[in-house]
Amino acid sequence: MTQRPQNTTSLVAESPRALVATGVTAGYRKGVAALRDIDARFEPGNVTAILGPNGAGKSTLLRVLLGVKRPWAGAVTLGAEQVRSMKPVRRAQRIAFVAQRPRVALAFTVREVVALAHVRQRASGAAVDTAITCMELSDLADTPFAALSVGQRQRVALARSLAQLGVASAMTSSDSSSVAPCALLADEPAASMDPRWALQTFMLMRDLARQGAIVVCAMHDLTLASRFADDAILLDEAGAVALAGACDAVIASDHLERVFQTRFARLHKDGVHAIAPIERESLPHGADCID
Amino acid sequence: MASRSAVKATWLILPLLLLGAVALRLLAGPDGLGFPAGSEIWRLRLLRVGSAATVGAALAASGAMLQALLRNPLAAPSVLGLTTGAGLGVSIAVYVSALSTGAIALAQTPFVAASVGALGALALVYALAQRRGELEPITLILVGVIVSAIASAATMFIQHLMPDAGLALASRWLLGAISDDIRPMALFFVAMLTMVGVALGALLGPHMDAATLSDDEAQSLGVPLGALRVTLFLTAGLLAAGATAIAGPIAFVGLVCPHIVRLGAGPAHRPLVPLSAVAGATVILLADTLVRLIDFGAGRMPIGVLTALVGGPVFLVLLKRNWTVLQGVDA
Repeated sequence: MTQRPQNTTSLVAESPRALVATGVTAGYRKGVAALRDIDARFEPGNVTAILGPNGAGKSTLLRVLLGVKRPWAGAVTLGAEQVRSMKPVRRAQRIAFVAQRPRVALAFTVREVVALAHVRQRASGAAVDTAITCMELSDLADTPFAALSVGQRQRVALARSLAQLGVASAMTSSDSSSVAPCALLADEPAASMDPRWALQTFMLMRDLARQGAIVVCAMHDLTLASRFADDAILLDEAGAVALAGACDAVIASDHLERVFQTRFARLHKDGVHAIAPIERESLPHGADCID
Repeated sequence: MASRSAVKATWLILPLLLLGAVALRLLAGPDGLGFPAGSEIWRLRLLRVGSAATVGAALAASGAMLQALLRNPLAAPSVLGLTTGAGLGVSIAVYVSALSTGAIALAQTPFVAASVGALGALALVYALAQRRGELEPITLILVGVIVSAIASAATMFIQHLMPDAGLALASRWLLGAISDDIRPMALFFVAMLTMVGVALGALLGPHMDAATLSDDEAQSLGVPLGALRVTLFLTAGLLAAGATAIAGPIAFVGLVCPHIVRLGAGPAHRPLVPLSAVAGATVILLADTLVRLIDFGAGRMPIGVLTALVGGPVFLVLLKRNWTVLQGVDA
C-alpha cells in the first residue's frame, strides 16, 4: 500500500487515468443551474470528498461524473474517453455508483441484488460471494433487500459496486497488488450506517484508492472526511466550487464556515481530528482548537 | 429466496396445470364434462381454448412487464387502465364505423383501435404520475384507477349513443368475455404477438431485474434504461391490447398471476414472464370452464365478472401487504 503525502493537492501529480470534469454546468429546471462551471480532477489513488450544504449539487455532480446526467455545458473524461460517449457496458466495468438511498422495487434477496453487478458483464458467481463476504453480508444473503435498514442497504450497494468493478477479491486478500483502473462514486455511502460500519466503509474506500482506484464520496461527516479523504471539493449553495484542494486545507479554511453558515469546533486528540458544528455564540472566535 | 429446486418445481407444475386446464376446457360442455361429439364442436372448443390461453398469457405477461417498468408491485393492465382504455378505443371505433356504415360490427377483432386505447391510457397514466422525473407509486395506482374509471364511463356513454346493439357492446367491452365468434386469423395474430412478447420479456429479463433499482443505479450497471422502457412500454401495451381485442377488458389476471409465480420462482424476470404467461393462460381457461359448467340461469356469465370478484379482494390483500413499500417509507 503506497502512502501518499496528506497535503497533496489534486493539481499535483496528474495521472493520465484521472476522472476529470471540465467546465461542467448542469441543472434540472431551465435557467436554474444546480452546478456552475465545475472544474475538478479526481486522481487514481485518492479519496476525494465532495462537501457542501444540502442542495449544493453534490449528488448532481456525482450523476454527471457517472455519465447518467448530461451536463448543459462542459464534459467529463475518464482517461482519454468522454464518460457520456463510453458504451454502457464498458462504463459499467469502469465506474460504479453507490446511491444514497439504494432501492429495489421487488422482492429480490441481498445476493440477487449484489449479483445484478454483472447484469451486463460475464463474471463468475465467486466475485459476488467475495463481495458479500467482504461486506459481512453472508448472514443476510437470502434476506429480501426490502427488509433491510437503510444502512444495511448501503452495505449491499457497496458490495454490488465491488463486484461490479471486479475489485472484491483485491479487498479481501492480503496481497496489495493494484486494481484495474476504475472509479467508485458514492453518495453519502455511510450516512445511515452505524459508527462501526461507517468507519469500515471509509477504510475500505481508502484501501480501494490505495490500490489505484478513483474514489469520490459526497459526504457531510467532516470528521470522516478529514480522516479518510485526501482531497476535497467544497461546493457552495449556488453549485460553484468554493474551494478545492487537499482535504485538510479545505476543512481548515474559513470557506467552510462561510459556505455552511455555521461555526465549527475543531478538536485534535490522539492524532484524530474531529470537526463538529457549533452555535455561533458558544465559543469566542479563534478559540476553536481544543486539545 | 427462490431456490433452484423451487424454480424447477414451478417450471414443472405450472405447465402441467395448464395441460390439465386445457383438457378440462375441451371436455366442458353444456351437459357437464364429456367428449364433444362432432368435429364442429371440437373446432369451436379448440378455438375457445386458444382464445382463453392467449388472452390469459398476454394479460399476465403484460402485468409482469408493467410491474418491472413502473417498479410497482400493484401495476397491471387493468389497474392502470390499459384494458379499459383498449375497450374504449374499440367502442369508439365501433361507433365511428356504425355512424358511417349504419351497421354495428361486433365480430371484428379491432386490434389497432385496442392498441391505440391501451397505449394511450398507459401514456396518460405514466405522464400524470410523474413528479420531478420520478414515478410516485401511490399516485401511479390512483391515476390508473381513475383513468380506468373514466374509460369505463366513456365506453358506457358510447353504448348509450347506440341504442340497438348497445347492450351487446357494453357486455363485451366493459366486462371481458371469451366469445365463440372470434376469427381464427385474428386469434393467430394475437397468439403470435403474445409469443413474441413473452420471448422478449424472457430475453430482457435480467435488464428488467436491474431496472427495479433506482434509475441511476440501473444505468450505472450498464442497462440502457431508455430503450428498455420504450420496449417494455410498447410490449406490455400491445399485449394488453391484443387480449382486450379478443376478450374485452378482463381484470386482475395481469396483477395476480405474476405474484403467484413469484411465490415459487422468485422475482427474477427471465423465468417470471414466461411462467406468468403459463399461469395466466391456466387461470383464464379454468375461469372459462367454470362459467361454462355452472348454469347461472340467465345465460353464461362474462368471465370478467368472475376475475373481478376473485381478483378484487386479492388486490386489496396485496395493497395492504405492499402499503409501506408503496408509501416510500420502506423503498
